[in-house]
Amino acid sequence: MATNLQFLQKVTSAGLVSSFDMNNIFDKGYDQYNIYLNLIDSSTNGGYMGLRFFDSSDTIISGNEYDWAGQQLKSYGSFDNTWRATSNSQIAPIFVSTNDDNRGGGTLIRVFNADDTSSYTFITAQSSTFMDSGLDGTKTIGVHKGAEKITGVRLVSQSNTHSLSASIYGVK
Amino acid sequence: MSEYGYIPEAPEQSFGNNKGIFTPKDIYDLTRADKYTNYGQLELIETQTVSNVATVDFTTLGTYNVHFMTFNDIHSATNNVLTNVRFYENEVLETGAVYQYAYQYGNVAGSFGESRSTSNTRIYTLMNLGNATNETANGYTYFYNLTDSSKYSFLTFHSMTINATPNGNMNFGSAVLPQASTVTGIQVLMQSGNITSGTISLYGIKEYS
Repeated sequence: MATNLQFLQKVTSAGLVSSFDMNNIFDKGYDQYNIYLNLIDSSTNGGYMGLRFFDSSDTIISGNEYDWAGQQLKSYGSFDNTWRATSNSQIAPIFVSTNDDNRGGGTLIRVFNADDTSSYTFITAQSSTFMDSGLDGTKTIGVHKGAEKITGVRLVSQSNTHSLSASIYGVK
Repeated sequence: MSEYGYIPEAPEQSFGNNKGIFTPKDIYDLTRADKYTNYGQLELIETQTVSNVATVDFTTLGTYNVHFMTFNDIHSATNNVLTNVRFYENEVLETGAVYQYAYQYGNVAGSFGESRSTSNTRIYTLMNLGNATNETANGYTYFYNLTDSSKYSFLTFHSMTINATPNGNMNFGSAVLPQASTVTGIQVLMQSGNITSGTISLYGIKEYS
């Protein structure tokens, strides 16, 4: 029997939040984890969301330890190719430009090497959201440049708040 | 009388948290109630192997919040066209200029660029391909919120094709049907002409509360 995508848990925010924590979702024995993020609503139009990790002590890693790069795709204008940073305090964007009309959106975040104490932790992410101007999408890569075990994820809203749910899977 | 081997009452059963001794009927009943731990949450809904058709319809979507579609060796009758997607809403095909998409493309000859629309009659997903032998399209698409009547329906996609030059060609992007509706079907078609051959599979990503 094929068992390759294995559901681990679902986490839902308590309404609109500025930080969405998924604690102790890793350390389950997988090389790769998939997080399917369901955007439910936003407090205002616009904004974006970044990502940080929790370490093996369940402490948030907020130091300048992340490199990332991404592209913001727009149906209504030229794409934004300025999303990039080295030695930054988060990885971004996980998604951008959400709307406050309960219209939804979706993101897939793939996390590599979270359980490995001797490797950096990498992510790829791709999203689709909608603001009043039109469609926004993102394609993002990122790395936490610390050889340590990662146990969870915090998604941080910038300039607004979001209500979200996340379904987490191990890829076997 | 024991329940799952416990007397008098067994603990509450849920996915990932089963305790006790289970008969085949217990497993069957708990599985139907989504309370028995069975791994394998990438659930195949349907595979279609197509031959010389104008459109391919997937009209069984289940109740998943996330769908996943794979495209393998899509051959086109017409040269230099993209593979498209559009939706059925409550069994009615949406053919209006209401879809939005945005994708980044590039090819091995070094040509990169952007493609976008706020009002198209279909979503351009897989990059353009030629119609000669081995000029095929391969890729995948994720769909979000299709079965939620209060939400728009969103997509992300990524593809690799061989175009008419023939050169390797790629794109990745996002799309939306910005209408709060229940999508009841997905239609795949070429920008023009028939799909000569190929295999398309639709999966649901199952989750538990």
